[in-house]
Amino acid sequence: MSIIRTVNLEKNFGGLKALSNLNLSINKGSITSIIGPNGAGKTTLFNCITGFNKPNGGDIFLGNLKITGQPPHLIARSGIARTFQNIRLLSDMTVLQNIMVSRHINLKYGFFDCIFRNKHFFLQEDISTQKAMKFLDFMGISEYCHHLATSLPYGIQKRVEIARALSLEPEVILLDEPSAGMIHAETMSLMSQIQKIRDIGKTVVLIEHDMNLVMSISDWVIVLNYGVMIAEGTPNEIKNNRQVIETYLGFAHEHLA
Amino acid sequence: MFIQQIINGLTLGSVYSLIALGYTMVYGILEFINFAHGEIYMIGAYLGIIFLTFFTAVGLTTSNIYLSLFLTMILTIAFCCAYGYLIERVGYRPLRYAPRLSPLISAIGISIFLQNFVMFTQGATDKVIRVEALDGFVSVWGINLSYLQVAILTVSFVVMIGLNLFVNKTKIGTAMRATAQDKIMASLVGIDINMIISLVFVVGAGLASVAGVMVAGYYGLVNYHIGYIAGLKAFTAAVLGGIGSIQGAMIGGLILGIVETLGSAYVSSDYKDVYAFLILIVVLLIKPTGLLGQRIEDKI
Amino acid sequence: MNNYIQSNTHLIRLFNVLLISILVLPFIGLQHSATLLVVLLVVFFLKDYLKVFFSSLALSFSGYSFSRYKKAILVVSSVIILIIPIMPYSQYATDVITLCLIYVILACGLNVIVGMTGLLHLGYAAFYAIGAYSYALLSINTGIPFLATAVLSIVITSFIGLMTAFPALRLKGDYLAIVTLGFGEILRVILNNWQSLTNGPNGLSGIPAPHVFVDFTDARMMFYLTAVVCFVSVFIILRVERSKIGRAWRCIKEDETVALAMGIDVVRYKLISFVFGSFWAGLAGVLYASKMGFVSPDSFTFLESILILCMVIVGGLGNTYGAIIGAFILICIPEILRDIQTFRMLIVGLVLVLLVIFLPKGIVGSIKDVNHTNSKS
Ligand SMILES: Nc1ncnc2c1ncn2[C@@H]1O[C@H](COP(=O)(O)OP(=O)(O)OP(=O)(O)O)[C@@H](O)[C@H]1O
Ligand SMILES: [Mg+2]
Repeated sequence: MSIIRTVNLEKNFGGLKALSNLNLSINKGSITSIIGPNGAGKTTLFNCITGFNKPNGGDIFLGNLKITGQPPHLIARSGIARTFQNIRLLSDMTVLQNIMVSRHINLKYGFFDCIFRNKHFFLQEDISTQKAMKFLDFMGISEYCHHLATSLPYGIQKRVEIARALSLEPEVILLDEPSAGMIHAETMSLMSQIQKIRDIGKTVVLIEHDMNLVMSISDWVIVLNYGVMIAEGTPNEIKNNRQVIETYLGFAHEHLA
Repeated sequence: MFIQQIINGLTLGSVYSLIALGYTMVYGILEFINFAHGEIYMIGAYLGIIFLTFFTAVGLTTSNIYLSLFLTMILTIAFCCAYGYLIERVGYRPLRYAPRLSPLISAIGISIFLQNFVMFTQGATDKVIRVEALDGFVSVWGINLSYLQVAILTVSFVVMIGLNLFVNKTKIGTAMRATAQDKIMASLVGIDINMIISLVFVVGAGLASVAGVMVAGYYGLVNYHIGYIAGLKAFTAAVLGGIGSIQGAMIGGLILGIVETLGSAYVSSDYKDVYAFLILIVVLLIKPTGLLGQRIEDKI
Repeated sequence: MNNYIQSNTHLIRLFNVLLISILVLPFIGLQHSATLLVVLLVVFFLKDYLKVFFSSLALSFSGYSFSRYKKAILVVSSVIILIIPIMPYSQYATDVITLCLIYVILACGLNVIVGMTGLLHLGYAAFYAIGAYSYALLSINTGIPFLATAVLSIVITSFIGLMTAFPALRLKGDYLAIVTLGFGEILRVILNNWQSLTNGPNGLSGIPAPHVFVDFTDARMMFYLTAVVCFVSVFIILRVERSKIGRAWRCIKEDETVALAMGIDVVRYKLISFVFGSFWAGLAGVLYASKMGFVSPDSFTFLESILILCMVIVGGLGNTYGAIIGAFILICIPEILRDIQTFRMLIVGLVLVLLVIFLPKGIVGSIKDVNHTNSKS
């Protein structure tokens, strides 16, 4: 059962074809990794799915809903949350406040509820705070909830971003290089957290350069190169795919060595 | 009569174009509306009058009017370029990495400061100047062109062509365009970003000062708040042409000048300051990228 | 490398100092410009000492924990303000404080737009004017009761706010700043030229005082009415600030991309912010017109907009308490130092630049910061 599907997706930047004729499908409840060399168009794919880039052609579906060209905030409301390749936490706010910002769409009260502070208002706020704490707990960072978000170590900030995406309560969560800049131990615990996210029924799509992480937790791997999908399959299939080894993995192995 | 109005409009418009270039170049590089830019134009106008008065007082104007006018122009441009440089250096550079609002506020502060500085030192009343040598007309096909109109049209035309060549053909111009596209990338290939930014402010200020001097001669009077209105209109011209686009600013300025002149002539001159604003709103509603601007997608 | 850059910047700074005194030469003459040069040089060579001086000043300041006394300070100052009008010989003081309270509403309203949402608004006085003129025109020309007139005026102001902001707020970039700037200019032109409606530069007089059960003709009664309205306004603004709406605004201010990714409808919330902010300008306009009994275009110039902006920045962008303090400072200080009126705006311009560079969080924001670092250590 696919939850995200792209049909002949195209994205150009001027003369540059960032994505061309992309047909892919992501299964509900899976962990799908998108890999490929720098500039392959991975982030652009995320941007198209989440509405930050408008595709030049083709369609994107979330379930049966066509979301092509929709504005980002509506796509977020339809159930796709994301993190960013470069951390984008709000400075001057604590971790908890950061998470509360993303509770926005789940807080169901209006303008006059804010002014009169009725029971409904407090109920909604309380539930949201609890849920925010729950997601921080889930990512193992609840102890930092009153720290200024941008004063924390890099690895923690990455987790805060994931918690923030989770607290939108989306169906699909897109993680753009979640392990970048993490030390080995952090990556290990991140792996189990990502699996946990899948286990609570969410679909995870991640862009990653860490092959160890990709190969050990992915259900499905998609390889992009110059905006074209050159292969997809289970981690084992990908590991043994000739073309992938030539264009990407070989390169990565060299670097690891 | 209509043709006459068009000529008047073009004259006014080339002044707007000259100022608009400063807005558009700064916006192209820093994505920031330099609110103090209109004041450079005002200061240019004042300096023109002050220098010319000085040269007249020492007797240079009577002995050699052209030398006197030429020196006035050169000195004014030099001073205004220095103003442009200093404004960036003191008011904006410390805020390069501050929240987006900060440089805007700083610009407003500088604008207010300069306005009131000039008012304080030069008085709140209009300052009048009259250069008799320039009071004359040429008539072509029944259209009257004052010497100053000819001068304004010619100078603007030459200056704009020069700017185009500078930006497109020289090495520094290329560096400027590279910086506008991607500051980090440009600095990685060895372009001195700070130098380029200073340069943009200097060039922009120079262009505005040319406009200022010529307008002082054209209308024969200046006051300390001409920069504010002219700046507003020139910015509109830049948006109309497509902010960030140099050719756009030139075309936008000319269109705006013509519309304003025709509007004052055939609709109502009480509301002459309103037309530019209406154009701004219409452009923002219909084609926010302006005539020549391109939509750029942010990299996320 | 570092050293080389250091010495180089020193030279450049010295050069800039010289340049400043040359540049002002044509305007102020040789003598003053030489004086300025000497002053600047002295500052330049003493700046390291000055830095030490100021930081030690700040340090001694930071010994006090203001937040602990916040409640007490609030209560005491409110009580003082509230009893001033019933003291003898307080006519003048009452007028000034009433004006202060009107500006508190304005500053807090503008703070919603500029401070919380990060939209630069350069024509706030125009909306203040629309409130005042709407009230004046409606109350002079129609027989509608006071409250209805007031509400109608505020609604008109908010609606015009919506209409003005819409074209600019749909777009990315700081177009709002220029649109509001232009709007203020247009409104000035209209108020001055539409003789039949606005009576041009002479303004409108004979505006009736508020009437809710009784007439508020007495300055003291007007003061208490203003105080109540001001209190309620600040209260409402604080509550909206501390809700999902305020959080959405703050997120937009800092990072629109993140806001979008979190499902926040950025354009809509910017519009809400702008209209909500305009609402308070309308309310302040009604209070002003009904207190003065007279309105003219002179009261709503561009400089007025900038003055209100200064209040917000002096207090600390995005900080409602800061805006309140800013309003009091900027109204009371010029009242006390009437002699500097002539070059008040010169100082205002300078202060704006210096504030954003050296004290970007304003007075209240900086005190908060100091406390924060204190409580941590
Ligand atoms: N807004 C944009 N404007 C112009 N070009 C862009 C834009 N965004 C991306 N590109 C270009 O599109 C191509 C794909 O970029 P993308 O960021 O998707 O790569 P990526 O696969 O995420 O690479 P990386 O591993 O480095 O993050 C690159 O060549 C990039 O320069
Ligand atoms: Mg990427």
